[in-house]
Amino acid sequence: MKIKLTLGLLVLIVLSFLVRFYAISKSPPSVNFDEAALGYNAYSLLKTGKDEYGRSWPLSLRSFNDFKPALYSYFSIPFVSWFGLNETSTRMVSVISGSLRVIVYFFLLRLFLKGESKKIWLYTLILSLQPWELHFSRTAFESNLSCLFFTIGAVLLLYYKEKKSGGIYLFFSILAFLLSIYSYHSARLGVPIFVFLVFFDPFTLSLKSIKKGVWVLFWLLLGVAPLLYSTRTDTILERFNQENIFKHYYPFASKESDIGINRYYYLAGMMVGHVASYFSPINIGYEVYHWVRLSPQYIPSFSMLGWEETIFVIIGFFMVLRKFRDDYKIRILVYWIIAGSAPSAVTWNWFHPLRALNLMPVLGVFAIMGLDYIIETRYKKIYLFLVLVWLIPTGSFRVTNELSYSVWKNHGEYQPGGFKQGAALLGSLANEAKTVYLDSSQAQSYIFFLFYQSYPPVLIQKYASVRPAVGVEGDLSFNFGNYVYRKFDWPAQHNEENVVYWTSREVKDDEIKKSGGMIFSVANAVSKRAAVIIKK
Amino acid sequence: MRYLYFVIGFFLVASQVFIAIINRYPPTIEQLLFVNLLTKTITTSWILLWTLRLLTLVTMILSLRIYFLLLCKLTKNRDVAYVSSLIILASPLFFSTWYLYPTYAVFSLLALVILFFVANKKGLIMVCILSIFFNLVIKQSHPKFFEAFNASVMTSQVTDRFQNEDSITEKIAIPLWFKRLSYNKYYFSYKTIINEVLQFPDLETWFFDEVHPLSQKSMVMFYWPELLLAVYGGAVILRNNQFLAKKLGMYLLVGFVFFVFSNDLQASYRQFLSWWFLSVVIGVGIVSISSYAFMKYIYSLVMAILFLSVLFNYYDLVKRQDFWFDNRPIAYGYLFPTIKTVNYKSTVYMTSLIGHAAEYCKFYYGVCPAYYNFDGFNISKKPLARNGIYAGFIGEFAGTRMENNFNDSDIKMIISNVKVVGIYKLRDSIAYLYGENIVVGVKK
Repeated sequence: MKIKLTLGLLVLIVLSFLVRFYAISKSPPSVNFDEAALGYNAYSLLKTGKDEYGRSWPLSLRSFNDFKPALYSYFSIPFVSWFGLNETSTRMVSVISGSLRVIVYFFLLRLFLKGESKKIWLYTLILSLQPWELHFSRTAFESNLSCLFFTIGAVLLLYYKEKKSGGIYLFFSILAFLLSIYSYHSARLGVPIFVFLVFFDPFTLSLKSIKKGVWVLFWLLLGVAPLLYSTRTDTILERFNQENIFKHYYPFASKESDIGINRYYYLAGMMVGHVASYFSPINIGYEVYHWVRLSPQYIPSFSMLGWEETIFVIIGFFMVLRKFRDDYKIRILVYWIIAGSAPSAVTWNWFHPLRALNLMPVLGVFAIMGLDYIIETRYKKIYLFLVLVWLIPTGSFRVTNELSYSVWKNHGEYQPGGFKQGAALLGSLANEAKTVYLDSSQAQSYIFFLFYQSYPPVLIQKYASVRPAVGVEGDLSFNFGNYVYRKFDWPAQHNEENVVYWTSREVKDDEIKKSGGMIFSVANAVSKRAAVIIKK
Repeated sequence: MRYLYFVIGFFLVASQVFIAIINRYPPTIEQLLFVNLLTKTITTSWILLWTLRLLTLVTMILSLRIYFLLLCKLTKNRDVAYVSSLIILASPLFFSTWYLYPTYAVFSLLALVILFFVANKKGLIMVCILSIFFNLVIKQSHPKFFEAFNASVMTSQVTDRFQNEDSITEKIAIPLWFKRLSYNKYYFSYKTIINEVLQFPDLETWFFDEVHPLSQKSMVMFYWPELLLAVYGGAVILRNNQFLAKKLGMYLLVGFVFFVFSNDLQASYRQFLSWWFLSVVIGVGIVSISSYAFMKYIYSLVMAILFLSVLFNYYDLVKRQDFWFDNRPIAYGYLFPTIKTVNYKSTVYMTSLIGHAAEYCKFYYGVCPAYYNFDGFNISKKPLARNGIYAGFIGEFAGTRMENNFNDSDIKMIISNVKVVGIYKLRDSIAYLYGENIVVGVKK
């Protein structure tokens, strides 16, 4: 039995890994700026023990003044060391996180579903093929790593409660939650809320559970002490300042009907709505808001869960409503969702998958509960046939959609063309030129040059004091080495000699060649010109 | 207690009538179809319109009465029936239905009568057929999922997918047989249908239109605090009343049929039939809270919050009717009265961009004068050759602009071409590329 289980788990991991790892350097077609930042900081830490700003072994990466949690970059160091700084090494941590999470699903489902293990393997396979699982495991997202640890922590906590003993489960649960906190911002609010709700569950509240809860929260606080100590108050809150609901939507009521007191009504409505949006089936399975569409979170053809799973989630919700009072494990799932969606209540986006990634595994479990209910009540004998008939084309569509179609759909915007293709050439020309002028419509474009040229971190760290200060938003580009940011204007600039230009603007090739410039066209993922390099 | 319900109901209706009078919103197209049959003068137009509105209100109240009786039968609890009915009555969707959309009112009456008098599955099937008839014939909608049965559309979607993926420079090698398992017209048909299905369970449209993230054009169905009551009510029903749960499930299925066959631009009207039955879940939640003595403070708080919800939303309806309602009648409500103020007898060239201009003309004149020309105009393409009065969008005078980006120089240009009698800025963009400003100008 144990051998069967181990073998089965191995097969699952390998299959999941293969789907997530295949063509990882080409799909997505290039790194986005957050990926480039994570990868470059991993490279900088590997080479110098400091981040791009020269801070030694930081717990947060200042990056774009957004203070990313650093754990993802630390885990990426070995891969950058083995494979060099590129898409593969930068994304490996996400690939492995997504693959391992599949195993955690198996153990999670075993807690809730009775029946043959064949069925649980099948359900685990279905969960591993969720669109969000494939997508978020193929891009470097700190939240994906955080979600893995959060899920492990939650499952271990569930096993601890189930066994009514087993301090070892609790120990590793706390450890996993701490790793989750160090991986992404959302967990800093989500973990304490989850732990609090689990141990202070009103239906099973006792002195013992309160003591245990306080003890666990204490250890968590101890565990995050280095984080609190290493970061100044203003920087801890920096991300919150950038993203909070209070700043974005003030005064909350419309201009025409604002009477003061109704502001609080509408503010409360927004906050409740933000949380409820993660329970809204249309958001889970269909709707893609424009702020998601224009970001690395966008999964073409899908929202987060598969279409059919979204329908099963509705059935799962009803089952949860019915069993909430009597089944503590169901309540823990609900608390998991509340904890996972809590950060979104105070941030301005209505539905932001990245910030609420920690709750996605639970939605998957609800979907499986709904599916299992239908199978057990109606299709017990033929479920395998039905599921395979559905799963085969579904699996084909989701995998192809993610690996291939999304490359076409998502090129441009946050995955700008040209940098991957042209940065190396630019680097070689820059070595011979006096000045390299950069003009890119892409915000923070410098990070792509640093990433794709593996620019020596020692040189970049020297510019820390002249880079845009904390609190500055918008384009944070800065001049470094012989790279200078300047708007491209050929008629005014063509007389300069021994210079190189990089521009994403439309240029007149003939005009440039006539004035003695050499043009190198740089294409994007669909062979359209994304930028030009001009050598004079 | 029963008298309290009636008193609340009376005040809700009175408030809505008051709002309707203050707003003076023009008729919608479907109201015009009735009014224009009988009208001869502008005065009779408004009298007929208000007669229609009041008749529609009576129809909706009748519907509510039938609904109440149906709920009494279903829930065996008069309090739940009363509260659910008040929830419907308090909803801005109720107000907009009697104020603007008589066809929906008639539909709801017919559907509820059928459900009340015809038992079980037979009644449900009849309402499904009525829903399909109402949407396809009366509203003339073109349901999106019909596309799924159009083989050529599906095939072209599959072809587009292949072509798009082939345009990638660094191709991802995936065996063709593997792709073909789903890249075929059958799977794409299935995809089209299921994507329509997934739009039905929409918490944002049901409960959060007051604060909708996309500010979608849709009436508030339920106030956001009612979501919490619905969750509680749902839990109570699922635990204690399997019969009601099953019945509501069936009714929501009928609501789903209505939804997929509807293509109304307003999301809330696509959910119109479901709206009636979702209120039961909220009603159960409220009555359950009130039944516990220790919850009386929570009950009082709930009532207070719901009172504020009604207050704030009704106030908002007065202050921002152009946010909630269709802007096309508002455009005509500006253009025709403004044209009437022009002391110059000439042909009136009316915009053709938003349709039904002739019907609105009849409403505002009783009999539409012969000097109206409804062929539309575009001064930027064909400079004004003829003297006359021009009434249309700024883009018809100054030329189209991407993203409706019109500025002061465009207005100056118009002024140089015509004598501007009036300019009005609409809230919504109802004539894409032609701007949100409507202009009445005279060329002599």
